[in-house]
Amino acid sequence: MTDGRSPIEILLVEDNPGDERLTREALKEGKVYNNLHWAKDGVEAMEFLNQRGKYKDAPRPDIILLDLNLPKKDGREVLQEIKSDDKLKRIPVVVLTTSKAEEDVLRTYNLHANCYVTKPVDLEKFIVVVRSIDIFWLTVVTLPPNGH
Amino acid sequence: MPKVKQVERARREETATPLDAAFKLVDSLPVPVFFKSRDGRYLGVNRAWEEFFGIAGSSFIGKQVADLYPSDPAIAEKHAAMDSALYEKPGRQSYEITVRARAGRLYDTIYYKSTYADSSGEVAGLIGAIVDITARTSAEAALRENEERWRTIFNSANEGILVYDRELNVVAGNQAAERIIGVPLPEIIGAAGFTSLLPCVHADGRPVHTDDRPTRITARTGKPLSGHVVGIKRAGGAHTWLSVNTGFLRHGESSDWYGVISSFTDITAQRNAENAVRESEERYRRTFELAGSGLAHVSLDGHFLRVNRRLCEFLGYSEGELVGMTVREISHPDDLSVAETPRNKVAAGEIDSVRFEKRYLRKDGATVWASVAIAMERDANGRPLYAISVLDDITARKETDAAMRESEERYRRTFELAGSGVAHIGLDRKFIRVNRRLCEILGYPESELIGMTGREISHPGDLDIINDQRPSLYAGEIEHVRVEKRYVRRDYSIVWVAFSMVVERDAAGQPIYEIAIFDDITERKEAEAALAESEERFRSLTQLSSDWYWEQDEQFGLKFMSRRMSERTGLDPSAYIGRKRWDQPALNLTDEDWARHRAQLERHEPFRDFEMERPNTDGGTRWICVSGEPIFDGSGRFRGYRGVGQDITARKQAEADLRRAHDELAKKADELQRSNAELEQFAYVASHDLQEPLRMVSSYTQLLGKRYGDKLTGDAQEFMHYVVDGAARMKQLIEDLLAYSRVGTKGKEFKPASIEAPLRKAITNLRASIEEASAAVTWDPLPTESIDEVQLAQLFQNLIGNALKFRGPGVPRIHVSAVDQNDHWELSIADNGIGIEPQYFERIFMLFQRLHTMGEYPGTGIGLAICKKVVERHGGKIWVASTLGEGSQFHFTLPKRETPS
Repeated sequence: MTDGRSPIEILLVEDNPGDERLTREALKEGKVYNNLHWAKDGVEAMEFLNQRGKYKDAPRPDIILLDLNLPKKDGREVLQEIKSDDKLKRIPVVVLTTSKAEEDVLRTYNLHANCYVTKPVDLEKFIVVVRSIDIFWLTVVTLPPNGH
Repeated sequence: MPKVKQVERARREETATPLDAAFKLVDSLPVPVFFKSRDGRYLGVNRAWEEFFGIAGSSFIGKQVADLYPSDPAIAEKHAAMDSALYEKPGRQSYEITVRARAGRLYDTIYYKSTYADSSGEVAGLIGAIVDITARTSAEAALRENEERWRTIFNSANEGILVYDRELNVVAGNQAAERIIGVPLPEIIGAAGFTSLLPCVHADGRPVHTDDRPTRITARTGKPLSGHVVGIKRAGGAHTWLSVNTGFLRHGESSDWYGVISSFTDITAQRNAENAVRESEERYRRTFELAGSGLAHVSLDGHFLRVNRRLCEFLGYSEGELVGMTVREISHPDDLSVAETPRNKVAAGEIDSVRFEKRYLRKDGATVWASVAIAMERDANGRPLYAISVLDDITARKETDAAMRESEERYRRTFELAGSGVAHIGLDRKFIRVNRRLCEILGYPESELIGMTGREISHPGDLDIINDQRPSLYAGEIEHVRVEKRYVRRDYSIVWVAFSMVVERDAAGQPIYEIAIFDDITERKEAEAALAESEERFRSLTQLSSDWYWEQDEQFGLKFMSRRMSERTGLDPSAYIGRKRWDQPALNLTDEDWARHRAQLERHEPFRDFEMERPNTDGGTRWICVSGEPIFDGSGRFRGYRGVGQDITARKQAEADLRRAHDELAKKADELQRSNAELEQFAYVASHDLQEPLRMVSSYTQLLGKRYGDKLTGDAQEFMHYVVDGAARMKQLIEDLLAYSRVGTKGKEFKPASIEAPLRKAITNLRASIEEASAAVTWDPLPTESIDEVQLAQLFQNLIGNALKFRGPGVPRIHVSAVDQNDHWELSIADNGIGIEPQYFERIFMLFQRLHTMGEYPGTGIGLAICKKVVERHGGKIWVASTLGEGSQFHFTLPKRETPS
């Protein structure tokens, strides 16, 4: 599935294995060339992003799919830390929400997520969403140059 | 001629008979004798008669007396008259008469006449004899004349004259002597002169002794005295001063004297005058110099000739400076002409002296007032020599006068204009003098009031109020009488007067009149009466009410508290009287509370509803509520506080109960709210969290169908369809439920906005459905109100969405309108849809209530419940009116809120 370019490094921060699998499946269905990394909570997500511990050799993700309801450190805290870290703040963050209500809550924190996506119940719609993320990444986002 | 015959016969028969002898005697007498008949004819005369008259008797026999004095009828008549008188009263007669006799000369004579009778006894005629006394009368006359002359001189002399004999005793004195000496002549005569009768002194005042008497001096020295001065001491110390001359009385040229004559004149006046002049001059000199008045002699051209010390002092110049100056130089410029006219009048002699007042300028420039008297000194011919000016310093008097005038004027004005009525009342109690104000107070004109007594116009109930005190006032036991009493005015209205009276006394302390002051205090009395009434009312009120009255002194000590306090509260008043409020504990107040209260009192501010929970002796407490106001006296001085107190224990308990009830209610409300919020939160969380597993079911079922659908049987595919469909409906249900719960939990603040804005938003959201149904949505202009725009958009969206969903067979027409209902707006969304049966009008707003099967119209039954919740959150209500098959009108209200400024 290569079309001559590197796979997109995606960090999925999600505590629900069902959703992780569904995301993976949707990416597969959407034919997105990716390396999906999975962090099960906020703490793990930050270790991954800061390349600490077992994630010492983790790649810098091109995009972060962030669920809000996480154990230990929830999505809002993770988003806050990302956006206040100069090395990380340019990484696009797509917030995955269960409902429209969650999006409203998050907006009130004024944390400048790049995108909000309500997780659809409908599989087809979910595939469309994942696919649109891919397109979004390919066409709109120009990654800032890697500092290293 | 019988008569002649008779005479002849007498002569012849002179020796023959006594009668003849008598005739012979008569004829030979040297005294003229004549006989006259009764009818006045001469019968015979003697030789002496013939000689005396120079007439021969024989030729005159038969003639009458008138023939004797042919040229002197007066003499003849006198004789004839005397004859007649004699015949009237026969007898003897004699009289002196001056007759003309021989040689035509006049002789002083005495006629002696006697009647004689004839043989029958009848008066036949008279016989007269003439005694020539001419020689005698001449000598006598000469002597008499001489004596008379001396006597006249003696008696009429102004000099006193006393004649002394050889023994120097007074033998004669004149009237002047009597007058001058002041002793009756008979007493003087025989005495040794006046010096022996009266105490006498020499000119130098020494007493005159016997040997010093002027007569003794004269006799001793043998020399007459001239101008010898002797004074007679009079009772009372005055002297009669005499200048005495003496001389000797001698016979002829004899050197021996037989007496002394003394003449004297009263020189007292002269001597006194001399003394007086001397004294006067001395006095004048002294007076001039020492006079309290300023004195000046001023020349006719106005220069000072002579000035005294006082004048120098008065004008502030030395004598040397003043003499030679003119009066004009020291006169006040404004008074230069004051003296002119009077001075000219004096100079012209029109008036003796003149007095006027004028101002002078002292050397130091000060102005002084003088009362000036001017008289003119003249020479013997009456020509003016110089003016004598007497100046009295009346500066002080002028000032006093002015002050006095002012004072009098002030007094008069005060009397007249006094705000008080003023009267002078005579000792007979009658008004002597009244001022205007008194007339106003008593309502009588002055003319009527004067002469009336106060008693006449006193109120019958107050008649003796003043009289009772008068004796003490007059006795000086009290200085004044002060009473309040009523008078009856002229119009019979009653006036209350504050009356005060003093007695004016003369210098001897005797009362002259009374001075009375009247002040109209009717208003005050009425106010007092009203106050008393008000106080009575207040007292009864406090008796009846739960309140009691209290007073605090200047130090905030409680000085009075009405009995009601202990009655009401059961608290012991003695624990409070005399103490400050903060001296006793109040369970509800902190030290800070007390300090605040105390500060308020010290600022003299009123306070309201100050509540204290006072411990009671029975172990309980009573709640006391006091309010107070500061008291200030007439001069604005703080006198303490007064106020009321109230037992509010019952109220406090009621309040506590109420508060407890309220607290419980509030607690329940809180619990309810929390419960509701928890419920909403639960609904939210539940609906949110339910979506996760639902999504798993739905997504994996679809993934299963997508990946393995061709491997499933027809039944399995159908089952899977129901799973997916159920999951989709459940998702809708959950989302609606979530929306519903969010109305309460996630609502936004109300902000003023036009209601058209959410309407337009809803229409925009529904555009696809509207176009699909070809519906016509219209609206009237909608008002601006304070709203949650998002929720209102949802409201419109649900209602319009319903109208589209439950549309009728025709073109859907949906109209939104608003009606102003004063305190709220009523909005309506009317459609021409299928309508609703009335029995469902309320039910449709309940959660999950549906009127149709899912097959007819899809839906969760939450939309109208959300609408109801939105409207209720806005404080309004929602209802529906509808006719089945014709359409529905959904109405909801929005209360008007004040637009935030």
